[in-house]
Amino acid sequence: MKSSFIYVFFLSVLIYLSSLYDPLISFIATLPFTRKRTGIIEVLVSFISFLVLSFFHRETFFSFTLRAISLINLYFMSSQLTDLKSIIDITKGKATPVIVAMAYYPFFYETTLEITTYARARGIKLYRVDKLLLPIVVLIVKTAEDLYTTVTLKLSGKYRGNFDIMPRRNDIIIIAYGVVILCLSLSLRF
Amino acid sequence: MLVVEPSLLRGKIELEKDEIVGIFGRNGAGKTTLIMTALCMNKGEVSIDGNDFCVGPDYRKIGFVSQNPQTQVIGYTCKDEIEILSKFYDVDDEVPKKLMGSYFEVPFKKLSDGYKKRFVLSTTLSVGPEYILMDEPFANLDRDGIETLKPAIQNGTLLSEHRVKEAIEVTDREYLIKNGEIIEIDKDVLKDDSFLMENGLRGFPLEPIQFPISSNEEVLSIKVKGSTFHLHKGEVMCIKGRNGAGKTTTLKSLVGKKGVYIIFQNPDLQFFNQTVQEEVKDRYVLKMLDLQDKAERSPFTLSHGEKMKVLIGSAIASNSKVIALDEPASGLDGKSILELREIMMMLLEKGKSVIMTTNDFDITPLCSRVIDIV
Repeated sequence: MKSSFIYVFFLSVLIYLSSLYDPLISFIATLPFTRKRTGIIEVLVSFISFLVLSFFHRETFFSFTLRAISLINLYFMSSQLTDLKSIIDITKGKATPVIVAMAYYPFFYETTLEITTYARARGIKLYRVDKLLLPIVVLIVKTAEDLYTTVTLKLSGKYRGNFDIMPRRNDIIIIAYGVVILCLSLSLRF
Repeated sequence: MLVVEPSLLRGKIELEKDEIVGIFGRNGAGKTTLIMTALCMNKGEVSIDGNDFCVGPDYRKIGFVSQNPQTQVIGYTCKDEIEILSKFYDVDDEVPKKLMGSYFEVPFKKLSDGYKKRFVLSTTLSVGPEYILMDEPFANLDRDGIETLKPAIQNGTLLSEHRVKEAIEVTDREYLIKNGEIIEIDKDVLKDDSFLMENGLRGFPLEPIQFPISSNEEVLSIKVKGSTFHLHKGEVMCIKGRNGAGKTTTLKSLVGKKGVYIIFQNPDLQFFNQTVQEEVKDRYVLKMLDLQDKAERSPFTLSHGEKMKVLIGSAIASNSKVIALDEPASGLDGKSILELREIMMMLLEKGKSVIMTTNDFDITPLCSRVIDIV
């Protein structure tokens, strides 16, 4: 489901506001937009964080853990939901780096996973960040070169689209989702 | 007419709008350099109908399809990509609709490898370029993928390719890049095995490896699509199948198994050390593979064939009993394939066993047993 950037941004703001009142609700609300494995890791991190904070009698800090994870998830969610064409329209064709960053997040994610598999196949421990970073840096440089070529060739023409603010069906669904999450947080808080 | 004269090479390439021209040459000969020159991204002279193209290049005139389609796509689906392009150029969506057929609205990542290349080619064609440049369009494609792509290649295309046999079925004229020189050659010489071998090109039949009487010593059990196969000492077991059939997944299932060293497809993602010496760790192995003069170099700076040698070198040095190779012929020229054959023989002499996945018929003579994933 793709939606206009402006409405995805609106949804992100609503979920962020919700995290100020009830971080657990905002955390749960962003989970469906993460990948399965990432979601499981995030739940585990939250659980461990809760145990550690409970041990030191600092449970009140747990809300910061949930809020931080929710903010990371908001980036993933935005990447997944945003219709890139809408960014082109809003910025009148000038937001090429944003478009590229959002379009290539899944590519980098999948390739980084591949690199960790190859490292395991070589018996390299995953905490050896110095070793893991080497192919990742080379990948980034090479991909950047390829992307420069792609963007130069594909998006170098003169922009002649137009920005349409009228929400479509998907836009309305995500606004409604954001409003429900915020209302839920507020109702549990007050 | 498009004329490309790279500064780093002697000679030039000419391409008319009503022909398909092929460029052949060994790894590192300058094929990609030539294509990048035509896009004004390397030094050289480029003209279209006598006018200098690189003065304010108009990229509606020259389209480009790179070897890796993944880094050429911005949209989620082909339809999406066309809508993005239409914000910058006049676009004819009939061409991609026709070429992609029912896959026009299918997400890029769900397409087969052949259709991924069709995706990039069709969106490039939608802008109506006068010329198309294709860098190794058949690399990593199985037979179906190649047959899917071939009919989409249109007149006005310049393609560089290692897979000579497949490429000359679509080209009208051919150039060879050799020792820094661009030479126009006759198509018939590319059907001559001795010419291909002399020039390090692919397409000649590989002499099968003579395997000794097979040993009964089982070194590994491997599950392929639910069936179990046993690999014996000194054996080369090949797993064949279409793109996406599950060959790489089968190899990934061996990750972490003791005594198995796996070399996957993209060498650049598998170097975790700064120098070749650190990667291979064994000077004797470096000497054996003729890599001792490159010991202090970064493995990332080597040619594709040399990178494969470094990975195989680290496999030998690891003393693993089984070496698994994922599509080892991908991106290799004819000379590198002959070297691969020699290295395989060396491995077998050392009592190693090899598992190899491939959809490349050129290297099946290296197999002692073939498992076909249907």
